[in-house]
Amino acid sequence: MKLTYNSCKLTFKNRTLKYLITLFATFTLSACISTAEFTAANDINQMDNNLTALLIESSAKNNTAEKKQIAYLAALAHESGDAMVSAGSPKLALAYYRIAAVGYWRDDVDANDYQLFDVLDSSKVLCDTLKGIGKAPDRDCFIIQVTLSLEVLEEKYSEISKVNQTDFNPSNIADVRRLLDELGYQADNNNAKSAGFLVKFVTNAKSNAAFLSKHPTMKAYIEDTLLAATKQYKMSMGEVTGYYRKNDGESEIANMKATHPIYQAYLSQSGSTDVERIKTMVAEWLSVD
Amino acid sequence: MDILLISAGIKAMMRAAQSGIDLSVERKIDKPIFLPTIRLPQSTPLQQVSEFLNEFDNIALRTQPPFAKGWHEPSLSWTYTDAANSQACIAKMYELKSANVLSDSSSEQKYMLIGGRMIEQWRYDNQPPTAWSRMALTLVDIGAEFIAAYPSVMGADSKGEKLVISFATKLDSLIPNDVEDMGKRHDFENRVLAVFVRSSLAVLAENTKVIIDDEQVSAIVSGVINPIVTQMENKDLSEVIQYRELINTLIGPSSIAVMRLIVDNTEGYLGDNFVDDKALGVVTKAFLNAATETAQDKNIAAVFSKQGLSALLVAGLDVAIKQPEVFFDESKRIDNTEAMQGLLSNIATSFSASASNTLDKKLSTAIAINVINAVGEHANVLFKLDANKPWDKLAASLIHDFSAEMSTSLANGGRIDLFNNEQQQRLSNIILTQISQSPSMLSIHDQTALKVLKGSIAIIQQDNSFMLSNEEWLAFTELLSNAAVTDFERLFNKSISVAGEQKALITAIIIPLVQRIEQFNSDSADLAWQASTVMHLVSTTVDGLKGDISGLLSKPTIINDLMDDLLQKVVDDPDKWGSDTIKEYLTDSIKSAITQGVLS
Repeated sequence: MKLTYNSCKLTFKNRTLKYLITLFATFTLSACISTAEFTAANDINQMDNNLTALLIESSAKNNTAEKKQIAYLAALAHESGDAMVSAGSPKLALAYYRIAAVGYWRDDVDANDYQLFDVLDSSKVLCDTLKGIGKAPDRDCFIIQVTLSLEVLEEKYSEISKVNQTDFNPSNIADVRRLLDELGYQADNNNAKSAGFLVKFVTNAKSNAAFLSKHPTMKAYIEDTLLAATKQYKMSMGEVTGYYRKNDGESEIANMKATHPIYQAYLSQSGSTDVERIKTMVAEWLSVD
Repeated sequence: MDILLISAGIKAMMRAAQSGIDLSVERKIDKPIFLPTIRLPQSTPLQQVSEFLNEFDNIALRTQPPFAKGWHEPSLSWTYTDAANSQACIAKMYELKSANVLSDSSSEQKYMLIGGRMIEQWRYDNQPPTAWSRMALTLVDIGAEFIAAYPSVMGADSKGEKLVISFATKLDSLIPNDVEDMGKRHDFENRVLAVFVRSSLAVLAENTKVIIDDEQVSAIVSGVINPIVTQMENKDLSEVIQYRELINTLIGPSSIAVMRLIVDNTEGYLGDNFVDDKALGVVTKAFLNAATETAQDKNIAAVFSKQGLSALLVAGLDVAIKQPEVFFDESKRIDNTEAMQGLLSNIATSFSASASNTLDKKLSTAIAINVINAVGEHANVLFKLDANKPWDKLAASLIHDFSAEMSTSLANGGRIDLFNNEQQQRLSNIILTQISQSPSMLSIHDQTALKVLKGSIAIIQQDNSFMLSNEEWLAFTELLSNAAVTDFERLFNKSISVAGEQKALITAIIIPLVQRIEQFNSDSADLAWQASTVMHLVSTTVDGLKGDISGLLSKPTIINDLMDDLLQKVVDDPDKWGSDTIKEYLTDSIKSAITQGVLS
């Protein structure tokens, strides 16, 4: 979707009126930009409504029809965001990019993953610039960056779920361990193996704790995500350690505890349920000194 | 007003409009949005057992069969041990779950069911300015524009600065507590306010002696601006578009006129410069109601031009400022919003296309304004004189009668049709202004003004050879209207028989006079009477009719006889009868003819 400004083109021939017309044109041009921004804001409003409906629908039915529409909406928002960058309206561009990022995350189209990177890169420039003058839209900048982490976490959990967990054997238990390392492994000092995605997500949440403490709805969302993702991770860790316990693999269990800080922290909690323990951990991660 | 001031005004309006658009845009991109939660794989039955045992209510089950075998307390995990035990655990779990299916979900579960959360845009220490502060910033911007254009008006501790501060302190009455409640009026309100601030500053710039104080600003905000913006509510989209267009055409010219009115009418009253915002509110509301009336023949916006609409509004507000009790009096429980709206709708009906009224819009507007001014100024007296004839009904009937008479006369052509539009407006204004000097005449004889108008036009129409200029006929109309104030019954209601026909005294006497002179001028071009002589003849005759007329009544043809005699003398001895001689002769002879019925 391209925005056009044809109706706002101005021409003048009479030199004696040049000054006045220039003055008028300045006002008119500003009015044209305003009109374009007004139209774009309405467009964003409509896209947000559509995206919400599609997300709820696709979540409930899990079918592909809505996901195709989400993919289309994401592409449209991506293009409109680029147009807004050219038009010099960074906040509107970021609103479009936020819709595009959420859309690319939830369309489940692998081919669109690189588009999400493109949105992240374009948004980062805008957010950094606006942050410099204290005007970066908090939510939009935060969400755009977090969508990639969410997509990767979903992907890893999905891969783990595809392993037959009722019948672990030496072969598939290695696959699950590798995947769990990709989620919860603590990077070693030599950087021979990078930190797991859940660890990174927690680290990122910790570094944003001060920001989240002043943004209640975003904080609640991150708390939800940390709770759900950690609970899922812990459940898989429990299954794997259960297998090792049953098959005399105490050394493997010790190794997992040593290299998975989140699981280690979980075991050290005093709560009597997963939720109780993980909530305590999340509260600690998001606490502000 | 100079170009610098206009330029500053335009800039100010643009800033205000931009501010409104920015607010609207930000509301849309800052509204809370739905963010879905992370999607996790659906748990397998074995995983569900572990989850089940991690629910607080099921803790006791962990040490009981069949769950105890696979439970590991340090990791709070249940894991597979053997197929038989797993099947038993799964079966027991489903059995227990089905018994508790009606239990309430936790808040976390509800959020997970919804699949996401609504997320606000801003953290609370980084919120953009509120609507309130946005409008205040707009005022500051406008002030800044005027500083550049008129440093004397907007300097430190200046009147302009105080004025802007005064408007700023009234903002809370315009902005709802929740910005969402601003709804359709969000940017509109800002712009309307900006226009009035600009107009007020412009009035200050025009006359540095002027003072616009806090009470006046308060009256404008609550009496004019507030009704304009609140009227926006409860309208659907198409109505909102029409309403915005209406206000756009009105507020520019009206706002500066209203500010001038307020300043002009309050600075003279020492110690009492109060402007009644309720009365202003009544007029503004009534006007906006009448301008958005759905029935086209009752809608003043459908009948009058943009300038006409603005002038009508200002005329109504003028009366509200000068005579606020006409529209609102709390002690007497008077709220004439409906009466004013009815009057305006009646005006619209009088001038609508369906009324077969052919009057020019400017003339229609002028007549309506003249009547509103004349009747409004004396509304209280009129009501006391005859409570059965409310001022609004009287005004409506006057406007209808005047416009019908003017329409008919102009349609017939003749001398009156050669008056230009402005002169036609003045003709009606002169009569209404003069007649309203005696409010009882407007009330008791509600045909008074109409009869004076008819009489004046009938006389003017006789002048087919331009004996008198348009301006001279207007002067004669004023003379006749003045005479009506003192001797209406005699001049316009008393009839005498002329050539077997009953006519009002004034027309029965003056019309033949004009006809006779016109005939003479035609027959004796070299002796033709000039305008000043004709004017002296008709004015002396009107004056004479205000005195003893017993001679005239005993001999109705005496004036004709006098003219025949005089004109014969002029023909017989032209050297003797110059304009001065004629005027001197007429001064004495007309009076004795009317009084005694004889020629001197």
